[in-house]
Amino acid sequence: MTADLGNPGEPPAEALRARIARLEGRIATLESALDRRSQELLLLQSVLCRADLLQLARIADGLSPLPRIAHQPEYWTETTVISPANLEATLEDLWRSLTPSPARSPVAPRTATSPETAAATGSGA
Amino acid sequence: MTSNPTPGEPLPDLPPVLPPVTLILLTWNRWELTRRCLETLLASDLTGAQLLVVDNGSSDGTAARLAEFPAAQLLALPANLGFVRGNNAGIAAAPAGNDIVLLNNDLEFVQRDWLQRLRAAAHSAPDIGVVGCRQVLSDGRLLHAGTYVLPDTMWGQQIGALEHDIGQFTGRRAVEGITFAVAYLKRAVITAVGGLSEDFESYFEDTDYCLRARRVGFRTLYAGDSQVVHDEHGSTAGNDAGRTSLFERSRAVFRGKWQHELDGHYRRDLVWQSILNFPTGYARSSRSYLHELDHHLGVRCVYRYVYGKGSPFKVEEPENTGDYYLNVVRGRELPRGHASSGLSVVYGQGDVFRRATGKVRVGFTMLEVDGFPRDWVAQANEMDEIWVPSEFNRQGFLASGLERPIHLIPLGVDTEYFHPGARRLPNPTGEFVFLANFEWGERKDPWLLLRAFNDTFTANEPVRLLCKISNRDPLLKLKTEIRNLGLDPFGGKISYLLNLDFPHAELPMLYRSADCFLAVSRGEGWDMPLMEAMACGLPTIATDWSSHTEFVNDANSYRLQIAGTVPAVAKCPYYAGFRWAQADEGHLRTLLRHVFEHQDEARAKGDFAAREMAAKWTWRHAAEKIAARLAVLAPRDRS
Repeated sequence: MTADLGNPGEPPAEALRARIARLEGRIATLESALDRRSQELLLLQSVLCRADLLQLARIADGLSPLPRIAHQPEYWTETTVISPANLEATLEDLWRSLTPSPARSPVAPRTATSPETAAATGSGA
Repeated sequence: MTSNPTPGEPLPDLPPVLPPVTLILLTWNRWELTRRCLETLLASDLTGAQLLVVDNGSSDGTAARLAEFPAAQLLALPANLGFVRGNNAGIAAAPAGNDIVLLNNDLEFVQRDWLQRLRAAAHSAPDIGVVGCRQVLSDGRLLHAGTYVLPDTMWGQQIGALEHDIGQFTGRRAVEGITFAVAYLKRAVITAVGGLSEDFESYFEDTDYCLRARRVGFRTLYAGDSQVVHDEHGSTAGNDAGRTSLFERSRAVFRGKWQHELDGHYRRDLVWQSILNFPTGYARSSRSYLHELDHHLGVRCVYRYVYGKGSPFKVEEPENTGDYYLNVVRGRELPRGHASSGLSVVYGQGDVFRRATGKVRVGFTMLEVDGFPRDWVAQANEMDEIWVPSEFNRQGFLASGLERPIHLIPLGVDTEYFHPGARRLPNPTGEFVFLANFEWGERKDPWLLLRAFNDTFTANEPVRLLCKISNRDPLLKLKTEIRNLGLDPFGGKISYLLNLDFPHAELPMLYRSADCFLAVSRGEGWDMPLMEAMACGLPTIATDWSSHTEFVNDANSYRLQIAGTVPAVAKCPYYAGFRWAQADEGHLRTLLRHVFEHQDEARAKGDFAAREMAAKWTWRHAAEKIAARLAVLAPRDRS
């Protein structure tokens, strides 16, 4: 019985086949995970309101969440009801919305020059 | 009232020679509290003090465990003698020349120089006999800033209790009483009145002591610059039923001793007909006038709601004011003979003056335009006299046909809350924040403000306008209003807080978190938010027209020129036929830019404004003017 030595410095064919099999298995797993994630996102999209989706997208991108009490007209719900509010929490939310806070983010933030960051810090009237 | 060092400020030099102090820490079981208390106490600056732990017969080994703290001397009592006798045993055991500080064992000492501040306060005047400090809970709420007792209920109340701590009550001021969880007793007062009264086992002994000291000429001082954390009732936790019965027994004793003397505080009766429980300026200011008149100026006030059925505002008022003191004032009976000889002040719009109930009747009102409606004037002419807050309103009333005497009574500001030491949450971006606080409508002219700000600055400048807006008008669509302004997205940045109701006691934190306040209205009856912002030390830009010109000047504010006056066109029917100001938009832009580019100058102006508000424009100042008029209108003493 002769050993299949192949070219010096190259992995044996059997090892290559095993590696290919592992990679194929990994691709299948990733495809399955991607499919599952797509289903989850579609589900979230179908049940979350626009504001919550926006929050989700911002957090996933490493941006600070928008304040719970919207401070820009585009996020307002018109109301004539005066609601009791906690001043300290409101101010903290407001200030936080003006500055990205990567330390709080579950994922790595984008660069400071990304369009999202620029929009978050420079919201015009 | 005095304003002195706050907890964050350095302590002024102590007088060169002060008597030594004996700290008396009373314990009864709860060793874990005592240990925490001792650890923090001994880590603070106890220069000039010795520590005596009086153990009230603890059964948990407290006395033995005190060996862990060799700095503490122990006085072990054979049984639980109660708060009063336990403390008296300590006072008796202390060296004869020493001042005394009584301490509960549920305290934590987080301020290193708390004791030295108390000593400094106690010896800042010879007639100060008893001194208390600021007590806070560990969850960020205030617990104690002095106490008062109303003779109606004889139930002691803690000032400021359970409010969110935003730095209120940090100065020194005279109070009726303090709680003896922390009490500095000068030797002179102990010599004069002795120890705590053993008529009480617990409760009321502290107020009783302060009143006894007052009787022999010693004041009680609250020193808000000295602060401790007090986990209230930790000392007696788990004993609720006993506490209630103890409280009621002590209350009955206290009533017997002090009812007559506390009743004698009042020299004059007044029926105050106004509004308390709605979010209006009249209601907020009513609360402050009543507190000052009744508590500090010897005027026994009875409150009656002036609106409701048969008035232009038909809604009935909720009964609970949310304020113990005002609930008592509201629940009082009318003074005997009120209709035939009493005095009533109607404080509200002039179309309810006729609802005045007394023999002597005063109408007190204000308006934001240059005259007063015919119906108001007709009703005002049926009053004995009229009060308005400003010369602007006085002239407006006279020009509208008033024939009765008219006097100026200003509004005020509560500088215990609104002061430069109030807590701030600054914008972490470092942007300079202009703040405006208003109800959206014609009078406040938000269109002018937003347009001018947006035009003056660019989005890449470190500056922002924060608008706290309220809107109760269902026909008004704010999104559309703002969209229609066509503001430039590359212009000055604006953020909004819409229809949020913050506790009034916390508003100083909002003001202190900004850098300049904008009051750009067409007319004001007074403008309390402007005055409150000034008291907090903010530079302000204010339209130079109408009532607030009483307290706004070039030294304390930036006065916004007006382009002229225009017809006061608004939904409010009271304005019909009158005029108000049109602010000069170009000048507003100039002032906004000037303040932004001269921030040191602006801060200096704000600092000056704060000093001036505290020196001249507190509610005490305002109420004293009322008391002076009452003395003329009803000269006969209540007694």
